[in-house]
Amino acid sequence: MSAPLLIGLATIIIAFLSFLTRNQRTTSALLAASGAAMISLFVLFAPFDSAFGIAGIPVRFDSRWVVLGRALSLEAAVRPMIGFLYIVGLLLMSGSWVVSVNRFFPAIAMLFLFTVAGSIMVEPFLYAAAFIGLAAMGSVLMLVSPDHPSSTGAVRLMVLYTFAVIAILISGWMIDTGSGTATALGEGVRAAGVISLGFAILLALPPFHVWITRSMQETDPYVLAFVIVVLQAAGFFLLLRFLDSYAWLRTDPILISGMRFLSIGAMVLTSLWALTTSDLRQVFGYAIIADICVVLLAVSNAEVDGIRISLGLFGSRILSIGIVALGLSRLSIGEGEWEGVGRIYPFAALGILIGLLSLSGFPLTAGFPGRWALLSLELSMERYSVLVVLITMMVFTFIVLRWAAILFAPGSVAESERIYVTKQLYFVFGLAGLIILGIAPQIVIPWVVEVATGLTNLFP
Amino acid sequence: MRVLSIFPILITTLNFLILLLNRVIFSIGLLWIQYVLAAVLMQPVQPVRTLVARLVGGTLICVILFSSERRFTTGLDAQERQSLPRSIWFKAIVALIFTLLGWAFAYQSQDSVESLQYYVRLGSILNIALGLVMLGLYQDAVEAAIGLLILLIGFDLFYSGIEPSLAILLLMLAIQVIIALATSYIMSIRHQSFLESSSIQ
Repeated sequence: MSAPLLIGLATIIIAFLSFLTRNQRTTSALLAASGAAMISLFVLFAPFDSAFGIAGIPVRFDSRWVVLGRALSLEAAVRPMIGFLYIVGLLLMSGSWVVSVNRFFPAIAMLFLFTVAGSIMVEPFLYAAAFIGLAAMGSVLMLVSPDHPSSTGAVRLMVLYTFAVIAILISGWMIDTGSGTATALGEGVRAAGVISLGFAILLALPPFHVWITRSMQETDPYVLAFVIVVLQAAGFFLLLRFLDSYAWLRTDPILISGMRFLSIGAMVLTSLWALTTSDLRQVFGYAIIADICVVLLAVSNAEVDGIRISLGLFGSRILSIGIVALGLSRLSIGEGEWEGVGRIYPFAALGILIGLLSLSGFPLTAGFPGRWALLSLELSMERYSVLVVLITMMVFTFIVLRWAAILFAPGSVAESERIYVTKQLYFVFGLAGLIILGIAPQIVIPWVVEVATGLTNLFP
Repeated sequence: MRVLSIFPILITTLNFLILLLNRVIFSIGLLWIQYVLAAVLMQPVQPVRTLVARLVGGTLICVILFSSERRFTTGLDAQERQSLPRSIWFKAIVALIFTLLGWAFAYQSQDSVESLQYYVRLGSILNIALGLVMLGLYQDAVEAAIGLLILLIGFDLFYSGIEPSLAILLLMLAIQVIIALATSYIMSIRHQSFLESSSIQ
């Protein structure tokens, strides 16, 4: 049987079961999370293209599934990326029962994950853009719900991702027709420009971050965090595959310096915006954007070390974003109502603060080892990029301290609803994870940095 | 060739009507005509199954939008649409500027896609340009969706000259169907929210 087809069928079955159990939030979330865990184990460890026996029955999983002359392929190079994606799904979907997210979230999230996995599996890989576009349009069904009926952010997401799909597909054509080469300078600039536009949208770099900041005010932070993380992961892996496939892109000075300029400029902008906002959810949005800029800065080195660091940074951000989103979703309050809520929900407030510190790369948190490695690498290249990364870290640390004072401000404390111990434990494990990964990154990071080593041109 | 030369004029007329008439139901009908035009136009150079795919996909998209517009147009939506400034002259001038820009761009890039005839390329670029205008002027999710779909019809026409495979056509149509479904979902949620708020009042 074809493995991609099997994953597709398993996804549909799990999504259907999660849909049936939508009124029991815990069951639905755990079903989807365990489904994602099973699929990730299958993708990472099942033997493909060779027969083996299960209880005496011969079984063979083909790594390719050909549809209309195009293939979905689980070749060795992409299997760790898909496994990583489903582990992200496992981590984030398992937490959804702690907060009151849209009942349909686990079911739609499973279909969303498969579509994004399709973007990694599809051959030729340029079609990935269409799969990512499909997933982005589908994510509207998660972002808008009866509890969160505003849809401006969701409409912006649809519009921007349509542009991204068009830009990536057109850039592929420009490259294939030979116009995008390092030697054809004028045409090369054009192709690099179109590619940059596509990836700037996929990674939500300013000014294409507007859907994130708007959705932060409109939708549940946990659902939004899931959508952002998975879509940015898809964009990030597609960027790595572009760099792997086209040697001239890795050495193109326009693209490389453009990436550096964009990431450094965006870090400065997001730091300023985060300083001026009075809404904690907006701070979270800006922290996510600043963090992806750091990842992009690491990629812009276009060398093995830089790419490994970017993968490490990408891995550590999942837990940080998950914990902050969980805390924000748990508090679920409007702008200007933050004062003193940390005294009612201490674990949620701590989750937000420590998660934000980790996202900003504060020492002893999960985000720090990657930042440290990047700073060491950058120090030998350009001093001003080191300075910007350090200033961004300090600005966000200052913002977190300011918000700590607001969240734990003394004053009248309203009556709190009943808080379940199991939900508190989830926060405790998350916080412990952030600190453990900060102190001992070797537990997970060595595996995460190997996720893309199948891209043999990037990792010779 | 002479028949083809009508295509850009038709496209421009349809898009101008969508922009200026300010009636969503009418716009959906005109959108469907654009899907039919695109399908018929590409038929001589592409297999019949792509014609069927475009017709079925386009009809499905328009049916989804039409039924949602009929069912979920809230009183609030109608009120908002009437009260927002929608000067017909302003929209006409913007559309005219973009039409001229599109025409100039198509004329300049004559050698870019040899497999695509000039009039088809001009039509596709005009669709993209006027789709962008609609996106710039939209005030509602369904209007944004119509603008996006028109832009995607234009891109589909252009891209089918580069990559004529059925797989990519179906993927692009799937994106358009999901856009229509997502828009319908947004409209239903807003309708529900409007009904709840009016029952409270």
